[in-house]
Amino acid sequence: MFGKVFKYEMKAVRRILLPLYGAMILVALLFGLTTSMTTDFSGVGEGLPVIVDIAEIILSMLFFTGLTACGVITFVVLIRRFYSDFLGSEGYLQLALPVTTNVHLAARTLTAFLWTLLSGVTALLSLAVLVFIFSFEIQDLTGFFRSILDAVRSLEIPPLSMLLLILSLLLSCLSGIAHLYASIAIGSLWSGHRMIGSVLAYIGTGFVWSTLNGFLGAAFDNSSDFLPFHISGIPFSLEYSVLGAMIALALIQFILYYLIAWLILDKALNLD
Amino acid sequence: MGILDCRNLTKKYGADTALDNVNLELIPGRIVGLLGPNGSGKTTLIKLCMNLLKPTSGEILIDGMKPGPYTKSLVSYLPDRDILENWMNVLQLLDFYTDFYQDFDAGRAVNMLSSLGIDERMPLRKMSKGTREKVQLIMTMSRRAKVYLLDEPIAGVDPAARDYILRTIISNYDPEAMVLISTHLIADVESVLDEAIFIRQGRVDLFDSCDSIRERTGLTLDEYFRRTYHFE
Repeated sequence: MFGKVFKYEMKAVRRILLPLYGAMILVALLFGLTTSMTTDFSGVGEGLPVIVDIAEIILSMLFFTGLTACGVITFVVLIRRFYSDFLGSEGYLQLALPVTTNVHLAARTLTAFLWTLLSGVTALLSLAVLVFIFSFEIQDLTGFFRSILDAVRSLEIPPLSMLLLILSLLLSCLSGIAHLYASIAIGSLWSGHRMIGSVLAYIGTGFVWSTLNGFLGAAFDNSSDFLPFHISGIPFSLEYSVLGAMIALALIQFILYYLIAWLILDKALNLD
Repeated sequence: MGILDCRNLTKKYGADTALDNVNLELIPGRIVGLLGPNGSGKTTLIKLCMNLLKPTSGEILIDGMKPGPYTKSLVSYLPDRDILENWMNVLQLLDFYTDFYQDFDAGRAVNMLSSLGIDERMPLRKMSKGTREKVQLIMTMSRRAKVYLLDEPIAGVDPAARDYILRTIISNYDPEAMVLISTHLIADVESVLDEAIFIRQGRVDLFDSCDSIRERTGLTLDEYFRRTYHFE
């Protein structure tokens, strides 16, 4: 049943998000092309009509607002979908299915995780398209990606640290999704004011978790800024333990929020 | 044990009691009317059967099990509202039901859709309210379920549509299944009912066969309802 719920969740969201991501990459491509023409690196763009300048301005605005919009719209679509699936009219269809709450929740968490990653990939790809068009000295895509890899290598981050860092980012993304879902579940307990309840729950649980993080950080390092924000300043001997702690905390956070969401939706949900 | 049992079932919303110590035993092969005025607890009872609400106390058993994935695989439920996903068309909805319900008879659904001239490729969001209601009913009645829970299936539709809906219910339910129809439009459903549950302010006033009620009171169910539940 997990696969079926997952399939329909992906279908329900993709009709909105895929065209959005496609449009974002197209805007990046057009913005890159018009900018490369007007900046006239090669002299080809001399004497271009004013309309190209206007198009460049409009496309630049579209590009930069689009980057933000991709993230915001993904966020809104995923929250709205979850909210209506469990608390809206769609809940009468979804929750009547012969499926456990855990399967409902897990499928939606995975869906949200994948779309969040895809929105990040879209943003990176848009920037990559732009950089690629600007970088005339780079003649092909392979060379372009090689140059990115070289840039990453020049940071001299050990491969294991990089792996742990990526893992901790992925887990943070998952725990962020579970945090949202837990907040909506907690908000559902406040019948009549579920939306406000969800927002307050999000702020409240976020505050509690940050405070807890602060205490844990202080206990670990005798400093309040234990968590991931100053990695570059941390001695190498500490790096693995810091990354390990980040991963452990993100995992604990994910499990806690997921359990809260599951418990409330399974044991206490009352559909209006 | 019936196919649907309620034991000391109570549901409260804060200080308000929606259902008060309800005890029922419904057996297969019957069409049962859940009859009562607005706000009497009919929808609450059905939502409790579907686990969309949690009881304050007491329990519901369907085929001997508490509401959950197993009982949902036995129960075909028509809610009192529009629940269709706007992004789907009818074909996708048929796939959805086929994927999730083993007892869904897609052929039966296609026949009913075609008899109503409903285009299967039409997006659900483009359909009129009445057509969406019919699609919802067709999906519900195309399952070969053990229990059908139909919440106000004829409320808000014109008399011709009411006839169609009742005909669809009668001609499509499995004779071994139990059909529970919640409504306050008693005259329209009276002819199809085997048994009736009269409910008021969350309490079961009367649960008996329709013939017995008519025989004892000398009234039709509709007349009995009007006489019993009239406003002073």
